[in-house]
Amino acid sequence: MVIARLQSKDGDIFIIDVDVAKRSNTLKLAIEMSKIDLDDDVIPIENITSNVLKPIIDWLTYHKDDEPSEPIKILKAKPYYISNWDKEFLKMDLKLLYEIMNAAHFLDIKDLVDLGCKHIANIIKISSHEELTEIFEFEATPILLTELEQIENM
Amino acid sequence: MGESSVVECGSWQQHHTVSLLAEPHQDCPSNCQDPFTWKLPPSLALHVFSFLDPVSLGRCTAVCKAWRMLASDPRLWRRLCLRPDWQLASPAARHRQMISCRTDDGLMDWKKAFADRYRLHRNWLRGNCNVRTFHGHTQGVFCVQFDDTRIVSGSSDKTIKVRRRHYAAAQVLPVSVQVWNIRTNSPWSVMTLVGHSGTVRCLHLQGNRLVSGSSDCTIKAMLSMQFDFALINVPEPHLVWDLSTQHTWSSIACKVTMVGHSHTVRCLQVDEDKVVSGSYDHTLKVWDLRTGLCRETLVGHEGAVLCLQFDTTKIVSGSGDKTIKVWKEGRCAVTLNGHEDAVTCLQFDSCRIISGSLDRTIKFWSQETGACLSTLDWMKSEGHTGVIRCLQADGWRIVSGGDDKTLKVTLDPGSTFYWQHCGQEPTEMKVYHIINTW
Repeated sequence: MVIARLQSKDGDIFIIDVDVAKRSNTLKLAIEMSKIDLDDDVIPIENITSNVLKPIIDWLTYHKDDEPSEPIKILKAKPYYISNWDKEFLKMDLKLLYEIMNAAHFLDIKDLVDLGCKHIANIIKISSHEELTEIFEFEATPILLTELEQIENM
Repeated sequence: MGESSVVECGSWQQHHTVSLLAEPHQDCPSNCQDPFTWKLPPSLALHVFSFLDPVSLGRCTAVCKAWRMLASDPRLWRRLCLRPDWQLASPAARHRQMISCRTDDGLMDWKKAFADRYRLHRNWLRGNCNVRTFHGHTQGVFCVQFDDTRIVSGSSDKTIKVRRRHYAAAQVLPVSVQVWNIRTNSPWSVMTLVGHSGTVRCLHLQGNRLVSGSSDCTIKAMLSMQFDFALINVPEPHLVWDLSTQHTWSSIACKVTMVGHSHTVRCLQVDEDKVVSGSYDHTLKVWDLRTGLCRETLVGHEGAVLCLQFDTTKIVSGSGDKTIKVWKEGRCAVTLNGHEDAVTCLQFDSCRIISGSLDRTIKFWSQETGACLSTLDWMKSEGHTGVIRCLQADGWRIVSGGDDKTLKVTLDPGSTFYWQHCGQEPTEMKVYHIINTW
């Protein structure tokens, strides 16, 4: 097994299978284009901290055998479906989830970004207005009935 | 730039250079409120919203100002509008909406467009309707078609009628097709077209052409400048009428009469240059619209031809012999067996054929293999308890009328709309009763 060494912002080094690392398009590009010597060099990821990188690597490792998804197909078939493992994975503080999503966006791991977005979308779906204000921490503003709601209430 | 790529599900990868080092709002004006206090760049926030259903998305616009801006993004609503289950049924309706939802600066207001479509869906699902009654026929109405401005109906009183209000006292004619103006409140028809000597069994209004078929064995076609329609009379001769409704009756004329069927013309469809008709004489005929000559006769059904539809590559017909036949290049390519009684109505789309029958079921067929995909009946899925007379389907629903005096609207189990409204289990079909009695 060829391995890659990833160094987080805090200096921790994570050793992972290179095939796993390559599921991130950014890392794939870095490994293939810049002729990094995988045996000796570490790949510095200077803007991601260990507490964020760790779960991302866990996620990548678990999903390493997944077929790369076709986004449009998934959206059409099961827009709200999330597997049990992913549900466990998502049991975390929203703050951390945002950081993970941002990092996944940077690392270009589309499936993970989609998962996070889907999870937040699901939260929005089931929450009342008050709950939304609380969960997403914004100031309460007067509610205007939207076009759709006006129709709903007809 | 990044936003659009996410929403369009397109070349997402190109933008991985959008580093998280970049501040989420670096491009925003100084008074911008952070949409989610989310530390998420707007592109990701928009991506989150792209996973929402329309109602939740609508709710998000009422949560706070920043969310309102984000959730009103036309790209989100455009995407919803483009989904097959939210399409409008006809190209004409789509075109009209494109015009009515244009903003002052020439852009399309996709959110408004979607709200309109949503309202329409709700009315269908809740059975909201206004009932208006139109008068004029003296006997049973056998066929009817409408568009935005008119209703055309054919009757056994053997006339086709188009009436205006000040002609309210117009005489009752022996065999009629009637045309009403849908935009006025007048219950009277603006025009009556006479010519058939038998019951008008079928008609097709397309642009400025009206074609009608009748039990006098003829088809008649008419053309009109203003009202545009043509009329064809079916069993023996087919007639084409030329019709202009500029406040007078004088310019209504039958353009062509097509003669050839030996029995009642039961069904027909017209396009730019041809008419395809099906008759009780067991045959289908293809006619030249201009000359009125029969180009082709399709023989094969062992019973009366009751319904048909054609496109550029094929003709599909249903018959009293309980079968549906697909005709290609003048020959019967596939025969679909499965109904236990006469096939009274059918419609096909790009991959399926939907048919209704005297056996009280609606069946879905694969065009490719000819296999029956599924059946809708009254025992398993709240289908009709009486003979099914007519049906029409589009991207998300099937509307059918039967002798049990009901019109039923069935959500199409093949559409994504169905999934969203009826949950995860596809085993049950949801049926909405619009009208319980006629």
